[in-house]
Amino acid sequence: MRHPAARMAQICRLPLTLFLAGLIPAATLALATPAEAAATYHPGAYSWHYVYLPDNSYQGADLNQADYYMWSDGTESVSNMYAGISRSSNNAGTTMIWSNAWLYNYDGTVPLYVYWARNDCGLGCYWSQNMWSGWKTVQAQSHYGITVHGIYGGCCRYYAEPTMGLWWP
Amino acid sequence: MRKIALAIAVAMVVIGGVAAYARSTQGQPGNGPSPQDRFGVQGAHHRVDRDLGPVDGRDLIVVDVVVGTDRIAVRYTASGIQPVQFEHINDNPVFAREGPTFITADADGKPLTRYDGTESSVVGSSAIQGEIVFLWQGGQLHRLNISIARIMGDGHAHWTATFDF
Repeated sequence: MRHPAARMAQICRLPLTLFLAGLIPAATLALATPAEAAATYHPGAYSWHYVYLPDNSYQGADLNQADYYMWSDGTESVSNMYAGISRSSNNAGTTMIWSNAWLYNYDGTVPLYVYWARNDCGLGCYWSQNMWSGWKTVQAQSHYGITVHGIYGGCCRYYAEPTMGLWWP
Repeated sequence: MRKIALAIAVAMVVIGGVAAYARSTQGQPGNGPSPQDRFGVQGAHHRVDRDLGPVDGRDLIVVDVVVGTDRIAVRYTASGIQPVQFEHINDNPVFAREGPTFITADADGKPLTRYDGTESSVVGSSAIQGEIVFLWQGGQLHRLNISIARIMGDGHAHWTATFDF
């Protein structure tokens, strides 16, 4: 007959192993505190996106602008996102509705959804809108931006609707 | 004693597993649009890195040319550019009609149709990076001629270049 202490040790061995196996990741996650991150500030990063029609004519330009911090911990914080449209003067008879803007990562995730819609502002006009003035932190180098869908009446895009995206420098 | 140890172990395993899973799912693809589908031109990548030379304090480097099945993308960087303000693009009737950036190209003698264009910078900076995308019927590209009349409304930024592949 085995010694009671040895029997107790045998009884406890399996759960003790499970306990330790669970303790390691749990303790690691519980004790891990994010290191203080340094940041570089990039105010006023912007992109212009040009839209052309299948007949090679210029349709207009989109503006996308934002301020962002690039953090050393692998994230970026973005704010003050502006969107604008500059309509060409050679698209007479075209009706555009710009809507459904959101922020997205290049990996397909959507860190922030901001719905926005505005009807056509007329030929040769310009306007811009502040899409988002708070702060949103996402993965670094994620190339998020604003996508705008345009709906054309009487003409269409050859491949896809016009879009605009913010390409980080 | 055994039941208590087992319960604690199971609880820790569950907690650890949930926490690890929660972390692993951050940043994974969701239902958003794939920007690569919208912007990326996949195909034969030609690293060019050709400096087209200084013109009136402006300089432009064609970084690469990507020849896809239905599109050709030309990517470039430029310096010394004095962009027109976005809200004033349409003040110039030529910009309003043709766009603030005007780049044309022909491939093996055939003029190309513009499909898309993007230019990026930082407010107050004269350095920009850009991409112009043309429609392409596919096949082997031998020679590409590019003519740049202006960049972001800067008429001093003009170059022509020929690329043989």
